[in-house]
Amino acid sequence: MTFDEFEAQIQQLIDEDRFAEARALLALVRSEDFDRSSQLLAGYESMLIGLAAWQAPDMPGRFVEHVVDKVRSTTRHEDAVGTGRGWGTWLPYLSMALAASMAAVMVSPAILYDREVAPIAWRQLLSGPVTAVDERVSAPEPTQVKEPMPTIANVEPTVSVVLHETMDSKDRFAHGSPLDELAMSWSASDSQLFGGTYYVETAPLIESVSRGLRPLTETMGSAINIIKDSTIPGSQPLPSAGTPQASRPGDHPSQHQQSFPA
Amino acid sequence: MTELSLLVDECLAGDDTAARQFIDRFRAKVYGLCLRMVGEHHEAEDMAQETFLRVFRNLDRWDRERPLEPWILTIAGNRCRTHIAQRSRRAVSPLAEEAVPDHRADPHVVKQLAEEVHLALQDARVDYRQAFLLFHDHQLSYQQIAEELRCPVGTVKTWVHRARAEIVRRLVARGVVQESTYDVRRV
Repeated sequence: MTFDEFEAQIQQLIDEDRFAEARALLALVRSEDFDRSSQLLAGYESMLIGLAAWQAPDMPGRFVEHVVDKVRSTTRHEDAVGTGRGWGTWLPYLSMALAASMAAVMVSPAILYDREVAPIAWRQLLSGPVTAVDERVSAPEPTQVKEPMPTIANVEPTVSVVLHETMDSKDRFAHGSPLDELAMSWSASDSQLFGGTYYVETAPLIESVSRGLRPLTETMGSAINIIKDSTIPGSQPLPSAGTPQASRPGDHPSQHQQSFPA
Repeated sequence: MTELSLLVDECLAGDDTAARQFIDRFRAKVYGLCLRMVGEHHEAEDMAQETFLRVFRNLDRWDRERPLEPWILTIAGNRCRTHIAQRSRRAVSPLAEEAVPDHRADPHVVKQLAEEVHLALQDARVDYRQAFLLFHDHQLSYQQIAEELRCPVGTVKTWVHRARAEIVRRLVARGVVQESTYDVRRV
């Protein structure tokens, strides 16, 4: 038996609480490892004697009281937190209220959307060349575009589907206005309330604001919407669009016909 | 319901007397393990205190199907391991042999041997040390230690064996090993 094997045997015997049998194994160790193995056996024996002799010093008597006090104070602190006087209790409610407010802000343009303003047949984008058509107006004769729109030209067909969907979803909001016709109409009750003068004076201002107020259009930066507005003859130019296309006179829907490469 | 379960229930109900009984029942073992792990009396006392605080905080999570003592000792061992890791990060010199002359040391040879083993244990890797102490000082089986420490039985066995080997080599190196009294016939 080698030195390593002997040590493994000792470990196994200790595991099995049979250390006393180790000395018999020492006789099986080869002669060149005998001295080392003998010393090793003495080492394990000393370790076990030392372990058995170890007596942990007792703790001071105040220990128990100290721990109990700490436990009690910790519990008290947790109870105080649990009573809900702090911010922690209100935070979930505040979060929910904030979330509800944000949802209301996001949904309001859709609620106020005037569906008669812009029923544009964007479906045509999928089936053929890009053509913005207002169904309420008869489309004039198409004319050739002198200069193709660089932003749309040479777009792959797969992109056109994405583009169409984006336009369609944005269009719903872009044409909605928080101040619709009903809201701006002058009624008898308004006359009673304001005596007629104040509201009449401010009406043009409100109208200009409402026309310029196109939720999500500017912020979303939808170039397609701007192109559509500027190319439909019946639609008003956007005073706030801020792009050359929006106010270019004489624009024609067909000018913006773009053919996507096959 | 066992007596221990009743005691735990009373502790959970906030009974101070039960809490005192509970601490009294386990403090010697907890403190003993902590002292073996961290090697210094005051630190061991702090660790024991923190152990009991953790035990009381998590007493409702104790699985009553399992023995309570190994659970408490594992909490104590883990707390000590964390403390040792923090101590080593602070680069405080570990327990030098001369730095830990315990005032309770006994001049008797066997007692000195016990101190030597205790010191040797401080040099063992902390996870080896924890497994070793749970096996030797607290008589937990490898299976129990593995369950408490959530590691394979083989790993625990390896840790305990390595701890023993390290301690023995240190004892041999320090020349404190008693000559074997075994009557061995050389082959």
